Formats: sequence, structure tokens, C-alpha cells
Amino acid sequence: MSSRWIDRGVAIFIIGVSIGLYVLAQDFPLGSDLFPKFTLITIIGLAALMFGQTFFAKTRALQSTEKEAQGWNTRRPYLVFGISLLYAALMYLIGYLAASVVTALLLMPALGVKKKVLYGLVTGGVILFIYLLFNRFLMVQLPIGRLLG
Amino acid sequence: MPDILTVLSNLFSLTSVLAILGGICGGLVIGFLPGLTSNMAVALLLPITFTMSPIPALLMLTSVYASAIYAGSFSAILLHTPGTSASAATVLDGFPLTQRGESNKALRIATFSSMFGGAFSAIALLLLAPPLSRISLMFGPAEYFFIAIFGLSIIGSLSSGGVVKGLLSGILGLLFSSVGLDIDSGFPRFCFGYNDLHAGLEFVPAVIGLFSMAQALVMTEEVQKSIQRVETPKSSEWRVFPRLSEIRQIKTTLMRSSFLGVLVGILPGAGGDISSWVSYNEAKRFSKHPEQFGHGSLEGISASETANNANTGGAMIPMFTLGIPGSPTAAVLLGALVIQGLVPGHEMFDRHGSIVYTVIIGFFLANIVMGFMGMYSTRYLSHITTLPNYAVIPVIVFFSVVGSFSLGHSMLNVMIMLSFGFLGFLMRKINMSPAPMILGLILGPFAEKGFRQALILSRGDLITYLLKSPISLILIALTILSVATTVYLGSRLTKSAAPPEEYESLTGEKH
Amino acid sequence: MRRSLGVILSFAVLVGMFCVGSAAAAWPEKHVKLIVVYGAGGGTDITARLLAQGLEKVTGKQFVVENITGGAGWVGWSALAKAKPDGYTIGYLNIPHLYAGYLDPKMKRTENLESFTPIMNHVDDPCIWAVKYDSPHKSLKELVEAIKKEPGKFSIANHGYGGDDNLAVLDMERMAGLKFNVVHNNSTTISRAQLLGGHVDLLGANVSEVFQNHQNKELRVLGVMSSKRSPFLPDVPTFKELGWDAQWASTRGVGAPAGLPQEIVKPLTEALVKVINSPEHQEKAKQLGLALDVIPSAEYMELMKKTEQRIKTLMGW
Repeated sequence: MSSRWIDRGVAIFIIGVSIGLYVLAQDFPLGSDLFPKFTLITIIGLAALMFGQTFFAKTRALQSTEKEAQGWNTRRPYLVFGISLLYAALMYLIGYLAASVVTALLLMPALGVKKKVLYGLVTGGVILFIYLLFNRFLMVQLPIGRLLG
Repeated sequence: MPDILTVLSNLFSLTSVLAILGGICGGLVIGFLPGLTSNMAVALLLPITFTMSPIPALLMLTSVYASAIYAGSFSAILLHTPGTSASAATVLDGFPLTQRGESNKALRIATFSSMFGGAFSAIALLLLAPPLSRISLMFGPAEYFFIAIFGLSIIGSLSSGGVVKGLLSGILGLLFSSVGLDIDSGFPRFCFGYNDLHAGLEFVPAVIGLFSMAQALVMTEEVQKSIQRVETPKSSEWRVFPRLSEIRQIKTTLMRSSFLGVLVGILPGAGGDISSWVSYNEAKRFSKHPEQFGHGSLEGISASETANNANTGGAMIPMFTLGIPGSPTAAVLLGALVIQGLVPGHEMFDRHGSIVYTVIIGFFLANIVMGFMGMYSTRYLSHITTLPNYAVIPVIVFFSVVGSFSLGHSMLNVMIMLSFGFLGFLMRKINMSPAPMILGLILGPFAEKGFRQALILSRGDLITYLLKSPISLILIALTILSVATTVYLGSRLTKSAAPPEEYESLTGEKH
Repeated sequence: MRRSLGVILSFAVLVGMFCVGSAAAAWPEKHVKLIVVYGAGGGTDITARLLAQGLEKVTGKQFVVENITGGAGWVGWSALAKAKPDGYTIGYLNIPHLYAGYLDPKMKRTENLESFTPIMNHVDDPCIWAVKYDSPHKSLKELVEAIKKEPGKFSIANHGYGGDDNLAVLDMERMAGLKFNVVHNNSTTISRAQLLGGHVDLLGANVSEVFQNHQNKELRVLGVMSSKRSPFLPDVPTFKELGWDAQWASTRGVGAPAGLPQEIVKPLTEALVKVINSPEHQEKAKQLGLALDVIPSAEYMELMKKTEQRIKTLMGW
């Protein structure tokens, strides 16, 4: 898909959401609706401009990274984001230490780790450092986990 | 003014020196880590000072403040993850330098600038506090409204992916800033029945998401490479201080940004983040090489880092003389001051002279010492940029998640951070710069509150009310100037040769 | 099968008894979490950290302040209400900010006052009205007359909607027949700067936030909204003395999740009283301009219920 079509899709999406939010803002009490409505109208205008621009702007060649980033590499950010979401959930359930270790292990295949020892040293060190810093030095309790605590 | 000998003997006692050094160490660590703000650093160390006597207590806390703001630049430069939100603007030029293997250059410029800005603000605090503090009272709703508009006029010059997308990003930031309970009516805006959102989208997790988390996701596309794209030549030495030629490049920026930093610092509610963005923009406007901004301009790094440290002393000016803190961190310091039995006010410099002058001179020294300590620690820290991305990504993810959790002690902030992280990643995919969005998030409340308060206070005659103060008129003129120069610069930049292409794709911000 | 179930059951009962018994025997056995719903460094946070430090000395166990922010305080209060009532999670209840989150029908919240066990009130910070020191209105009486002469001319800066300063303004508007142009700020710091800079005519705030400015003759406090004069402002009359019975304050105290057993309430209360009455704590509170007002559990609940009722009528919730 060319970047033109992506831009058009994004513009239409933004306009759609903004109209929905504008309808919501109709219910806001007098005064508090002013600013959101103003920003929403501006956003709709700008998104329309962005849509229009796609017909006039020069097409640009794909960047080198985009050429490289095919197949496995294009999916990787989404996978890592998914694991980060899981990390947040796990932290809530089984606490900081266990969740971090599990996440570090899950990220290993996802990131295509080559030097496993280096990876283990860096992540292990950081996990321990964060734990000691927050729990021992700053007295900020990291989650101990709903299921365990 | 008290006897200089008393001040010096206060300052060079063992406890004072230890307090300064300890404060700097704590501040450097906390400031380096994303999520741990300078505000939190001072607040977390506050209980320790309850049992200390006033001088070491205040020396420690002000040292923490200065060094936390300074150390925010380390992670901004090395990892594209601003350690404190005040260093967000440093990312734009610091990170490209790191990618080129010139992290030392970026760090020494940031260090020298932070030291200069901080020391400048300490001198302003020492000599001019009472008259300068009056500025904080001159800014009413109308003036805040115009300062927000002026700040927003920067957006045009920040948008690397085209003006329309830049503006869109900025206005979306404004819209996000309106989420939460409306302060005038108590109405929950855009909360969708989700009560936890009543306090709005917290700013710091949003910054961590847009910069740090998004960066981690971008880096996953090239897991085997490392942040630094070139082998550092073996012969390259590690310099603590910038070369004379480098200082010559940034000398006007240093002066201008110090001045702006102190000025914004004096304004209540406006913290280090606003000063660094404003001064970044002014540096770009007056620069001989505006095309280098965003690609590793030394002036860009210097502008942001000078201003956020100049902000620290500036924020303390109204704190000492009026009891009005100029930044959120100064508000915590004010608590420390009061708990030590020191009553802020114009008489404070007379009544508690020996304490106040010792603290200010100590603060000056802390700003110098922190630079040396910072440069020696970053020498080792900067090796992280030569590690393969697959080892750095988990570090950024862990710090982003834990950092935003610790801010409000709730998963809500983690969710905000992750959402903005994903959004920031998608924005970079479509060439939309996240920097204007951050500006929108910061300035949205100022613009809205200023306007609505002006509306109430004007009692029907809004235009006269808005235009009656000379400060408003100056700000309007500055805004027009800012927009005009942006348009002019924009046309000049497109005519002149395109900026160096080779490192562009590395920043992920494609043009 | 049935036998093993019996064994498990009796074992569970034993464990349960052991837990309760030990909790009763020696609270606290481990560190205690003290929830503060506002950010680190705020007014509540500083008093909480002060208190935590004292409690550590008295009990020998750590008291960890946890700032759970968001949702206008209710992210933290929900967490407190949902915590186990075992004495290891306690928190600060801020009155009247607690009320808006569940009384306002827009919120649709299930928790309310009954979700907490009140332990003790700690701080009582009455509302005040102040003008700039060089203002022509030197007393509340003069001011009220001036406002009545020119309705809609005077402006007042205060905290957000539903906060104590705002309730005080609404109450006085109703009682004295006034009409203000109200400006809301999210921090009194800004409101005070607006007053001192002459951008607004009046400031609605609390004693601890202005008593130093009053002493420094930067602003003039016209009246205190408490039943008796504030020790920090002995020269300032109360609203009641002047004929308007407006009594509003920001109070904060310690609470626990509902159903905290008496065996824990007792040692907790004792520890709190010991800390609050210690000369050290009294001295620090004095410097912060905070009037300590120790109200034990039952009366504290009663007080909160009374305030709840007053707010319901005033706001029409």
C-alpha cells in the first residue's frame, strides 16, 4: 500500500472520530464545550487538508528502512507492543520480578537475540537494578502481584 | 547581606558538602531514569530532610533538583528517551549525534549548557530575586493565554513531516489535554464513563510513550543493529569540556536561553518543559543554520539544556520572595522550606540571610560540580549505545513501564504510556512528528484556562480585556513574528539544499 | 474424600484463626501502606510523610506512603476501599473532595462513605477569604456591602468545582445574596498570584495557604470560616462573628477499608494519637500552618456524614 493511501485512510479516520467526539461535546456544559469544539473543528479542517494534499504532493520514493522492513520485521513492532501489554498485565497479576523475568524470556525469540549471554546479563542487571532502586532506596513499592500478595 | 565568612564556613562544613554531593548523586540517577521526574526526586527525598538542619536539607534538595533536570539529557541523548519531560526537546538533536557516534559531543554540549544555565539562574536568584519576582504577579489569565498561543506558534517550525501534519499533531495534543473533569463545571469530558480518567491524561506517561516506548518499537525493525551506527574511531578521546570552537557556536544560544529559562521559570505553573521548547524555537529562529535543527544541531541541544536548568533557579525566585513556586518541583521545595521554619517573603533575605545565601551559593556550586560528576558517569553509560538493539529494547520497555507505574502508583499511567507509545509509533510511520503533540499537551490547559478565565473576568468586553496589558501586546507581536519567520524559514529551507539524507532514516522521523 | 475435605476445612479455619489471632496480638507485624491520593510533594503528601515518619518511630515498622493519583482522587480511594481490611493498608481521606466523586450523580460510582472505616481526623484547615493588602475593603462587612452595590463586578479565585473553597463561595452567595465572577484554578498558588497581581478581587483559600502572606502584609484575610478563630490568624474574625454562619474547611484524616476489626483500630488509633501529640509533630504542623484536630473514629464518621448532608443540599445532588 502506498503512503498516499495510508495518509488518506488516516485522514478519513481522524475526521470520522472527530465528528463522533463533536457530537459528544454537544452535551458538555456551557463554557467547557468551547475548547474541545474549537480543537475538533480545527482537527477536521486539518485532516481534510491532509487528505487533499495526497492528490497534489509529489510522490516520494520509499525510504531505505521501509524497503528493508519487510516480512518478519514489519510484524515485529506489533509483537513487541503486544508483549509490553502483557508485561503490564502480568505485573499486576504476578508482581514486578516474576513478570519482568517472563517478559524478558518472551522478548528473546521475538527480538531474535543472538548473544544470549549478553542479553541475559543486560536484562537481568536492569531488572535487579530497578528492583533495588525502587523498593530499597526510593521506598516506592513495585507491585507484588494480586495472585501472590 | 550577611558576613561572607559565615556563608563560606556554613557551606564548606562536612555536612553541607556531603549533602550537596549526595544530592547530586541521587539527582543524577533519578533524572536519568525516564518516569522519575525531578518533582518526584525532591519529594521522595523530602522525608529524609525532616530531621536535618535547614542548610544541609535545602542544599541537598536543590542539588537534587538541578542534577535531576541535567541528567534527563543523558537518556534523551543516548536512548531517545527523555529522562525528565524537560529534556524532551534535547532528543531532537542529541539523538542524531549519538547515532553518528558523536554522543560525547552531544553530552559535553548538554553538560556545559546545563552548568551555564543553572549557574546563571543561581546568580539571578542571588542578586535580583526581589525585583524579578514581581514578574510572576504581572501574568494574569490574558497573559497566560497569549503565552500559550505564542508557545503553540512554535509547532510550525517543529514539524519535520510537513506543516499540515505537524499542526494536526499539535492540535490533537490540545484535544488530549481536555480529557478529564472540567475544573469549572466538574463535568467529565471524553471519559466515556471511565472514572479513572477524571484527572485527565497525565503528561509524563504521555511523553514517555511518545518518545521512549515509540522509540523501542521503531528499534525492533532493526534488532541486530545498534543505536550508534558507526564504529567510534579508537583514537577519539573523551572530552569533558566542549572545544572552544564549539563554545563559540553556542555562545549566543547560551545567553538567550539562560535569560528565557529564568523568565519562564519565574512564571508560576510553567516548568522546565515550556522553557526548553520556547528556547529551542528561538534558537532555531535566530540561528545561521536552522536547517541543522533536528539533525544534530549543537545550538538545539544547548538551547534546550540551558533553558531547563536556568528554569530551576528562576522557579526559586518567586518561591523565596513570595512563597509562590515557579515550577511543580519548586512547590515541593517550598514545603521543605516551610517545614524547616523558614518563612518565604521579602524579609527572608534579611531575616534568614545566612541560610538563604548559603543555599543559593551552594546551589551555584552544585550546578558546577554536577557537570563533572555527570561527564565522568556518562563516559561509561554511553557504551549502551553500542549494544545491539535487541539488548537495549527490553531496557527501554522495562524503564518505561516501571517509570510510568511509579508516577501515580497505578496501572492507569502504564496504560496511558503504552497507548501513547503505540500512537507515537504509528505517527512516525506516517511521517507525523510527535513533538508538536507534546507541546499541545503542555500548553492546552494554559490556553483553555487563560481564555475562559479572561472571558469571565472581562465581563462581556473580552477584546479590551485581552489587549489592555502591554505584556499581552508584546506576546501577540512575538507570536506574529514567530509565525512569519516560520513561514519565511520554511520557504528558505525548501529552496536551499535538502538536509543531509544519510542519517534521516535512523531517527525514524522521515521527511 | 469427605474426610480430606474435613481436614482441609479445619486446616483453613485454623489458619484463619491464626491469622486473626496474630493480627490482633501484635499489629503491625510488617510494613503498612499509607495511601495518599495526591501527588508527591503536595500538602496532603507532606503531612502524610510527616505522620509516617512518626508512626515508624512509634511502632518500629515501616509506613510506606503510596501516592495513587488520578480520577480526582478516586483511583486511590477505590484502591483503599477495595484493599483487605487487615490494617496493612490505610489512607488519607480528604474532605470534602471525597464527596464529589460519588455524590454527583454524573459519576455513577458504587463506593461511598460506608466503604471506609474512619480512624481519626488529623488536620483541619478552615477556608478563608482574603483581599490584597492595599484593597479599599478592610473588612468583610464593607466588602459584602460593596458587592451588593455592584453585583457581578467582583471576581474571586478559588480551587476547582466542588472543592471546599468553591463550596464556601456557593454557600456565601446563597446566604448573603452575593454574586461573584468565579475563576477556578487547579492550584491555590496560581489563585494567590492572581490576587497579589491584582487580576482578581478576592481569594478563596485555606488558612495554611495564606497565613504567612497575611503576616507579611501582602494580603489581608477578612474572615475565617470556622467555629472559632484560627491560632495562626488571631487578629482575623470568624464569619460567624460577623453574622454569617459559614463553616467550611479542608480536613484530612486517616481511614481504612470498611470492616477493619476493632483489634486493629485500637492500636492504630493509639499509635496515631501518640504521634500527633508528640512535640515534634506539633512543632512541624505549626510551621506548616496546620491546625491539628484529633477526632476519634465514631465522631469522625458523624462529622463526615454531617458534611455530606450539607453538601448534598448545597449542590442539589
